[in-house]
Amino acid sequence: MTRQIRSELLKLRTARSFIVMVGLGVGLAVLISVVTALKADYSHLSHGPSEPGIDQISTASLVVFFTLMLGVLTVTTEYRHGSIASTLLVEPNRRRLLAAKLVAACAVGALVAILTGGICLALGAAILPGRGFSLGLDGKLVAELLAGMAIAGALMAAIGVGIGAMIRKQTAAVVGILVYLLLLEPLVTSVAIKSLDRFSIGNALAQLTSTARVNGLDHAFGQVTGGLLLAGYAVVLVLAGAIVIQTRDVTD
Amino acid sequence: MRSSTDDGSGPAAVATVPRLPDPIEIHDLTKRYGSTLAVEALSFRVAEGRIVGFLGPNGAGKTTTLRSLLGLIKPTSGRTLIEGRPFVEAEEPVRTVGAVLEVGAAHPGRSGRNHLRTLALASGIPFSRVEEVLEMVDLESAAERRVGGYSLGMKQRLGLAAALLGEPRILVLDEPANGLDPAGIRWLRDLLRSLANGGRSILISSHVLAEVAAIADEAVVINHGRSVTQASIAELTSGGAIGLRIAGPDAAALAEALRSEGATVEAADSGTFVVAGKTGEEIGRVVAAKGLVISELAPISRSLEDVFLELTGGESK
Repeated sequence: MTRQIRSELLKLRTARSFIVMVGLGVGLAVLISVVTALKADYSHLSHGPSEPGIDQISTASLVVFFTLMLGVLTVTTEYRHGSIASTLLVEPNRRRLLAAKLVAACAVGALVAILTGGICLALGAAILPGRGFSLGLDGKLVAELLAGMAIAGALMAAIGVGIGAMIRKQTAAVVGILVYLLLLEPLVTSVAIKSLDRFSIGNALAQLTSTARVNGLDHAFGQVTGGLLLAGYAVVLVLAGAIVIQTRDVTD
Repeated sequence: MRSSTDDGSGPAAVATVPRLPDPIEIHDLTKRYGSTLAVEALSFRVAEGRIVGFLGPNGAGKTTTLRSLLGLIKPTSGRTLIEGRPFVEAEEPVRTVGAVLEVGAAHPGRSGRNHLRTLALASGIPFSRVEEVLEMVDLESAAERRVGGYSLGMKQRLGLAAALLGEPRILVLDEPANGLDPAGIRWLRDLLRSLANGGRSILISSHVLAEVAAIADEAVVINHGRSVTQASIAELTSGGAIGLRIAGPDAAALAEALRSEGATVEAADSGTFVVAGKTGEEIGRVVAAKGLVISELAPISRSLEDVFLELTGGESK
């Protein structure tokens, strides 16, 4: 299993599409973080003294959508380019292969997310004092925020792996999950069935990364519960993906 | 290769010695995709150290069979075995079977060397072996280039390098000569022959029948997913000579003379005829009797292509 995980990590390191996608996610998050630190008005902290710091994490959390894509691509790229056959010739046990992809994607997802969070907080800490503000975070809260980022990055990558295993067509998988997360779920939970909002992936993510505190959301749900809810989504989707990948013929 | 009806029974002594499983065994394989029957009750074996050609028109079920053998497709019924067990249960898959199933089946943004390294890493093979197979397939100079920039032939060589990575005992190759230039095809032929001489078993599907005839010891021919015949190349092409080819300045006169004696004569190229129904000696007597001059009198055997077209009803595309 260790060999398969190392192989999957090498695949992530050596394909330009993965590197470009992660770089794009980190770059975008950092750019918005800098703009926020330079432009946001923190004269009136309506969400408490930690609002500037959590704003920085809020912009950093954008990167988890890219770790989600990383997870999707970890599986769908193999089908898209036909390399799934040679991969399965080396590791014919499909569940073990999926587990290796899951571990690799989660590890990279966690690393990318915590690094992005750290960079955004560091930039905020460097820029805000010049404007007479501060992050407003103590050491404990910084640790909580970064831990939330790491877990969110990993769990979103896991969700991506599950989706990718279920929907092998790369474009359909990527467009489908983005449409669901950015359009369908917000629409359904804010307009149609508001009671479901608490249990949405978006809310779980906001609770886990603590950004619910400054986004006008009810954050009584809490970081741990948000993390458990997101983990629940990940487990269900990965198990569904494992069933599909186990039974599906590899014809291309 | 033995037919599916050959159960290994025979002399009494054989019954006391359990026969070792053949490297490749296909038993009653059937695969249905919805209402389409891709493969039906197909059975054959590949013995150790043999190169077996797997022939059939496009859509005959060759690729489905090979993918079923390698655990990529689940059969509707029947079994496919590698060294006596399903491939997915192999203890050392990469050292058991090497396969080329599709040209260029690698991430186009990854270098050839890194593609092989990902496979080596997953199977515990040292990176030094990657360099060996790169050299073997003559891709060292392109190893750092991204696969997306490879020519068809280079992608085919990369696929072969991946197949040879674990020094497998069995090779399964789907159209391995695709994209190779004549020198590459000769190189492939020599490579496969040397691998088979080293005891490896090779199952090779191809639509280039001349190549199969040059490489393989035996052939399995399928059509519409069913086995049409399984025999050695020599047996397949030994169905008697088609006739004799005659050429020369007086070939036309000779053809006329042979027709008058009941032979079937067909014009081939300019100044060349194919004669059936007469032996070489009989033709020689006519030549002598008429005082004719010819420059060629040669028997024409059935080619594998002739046999293939007969067996498949001329469906090769």
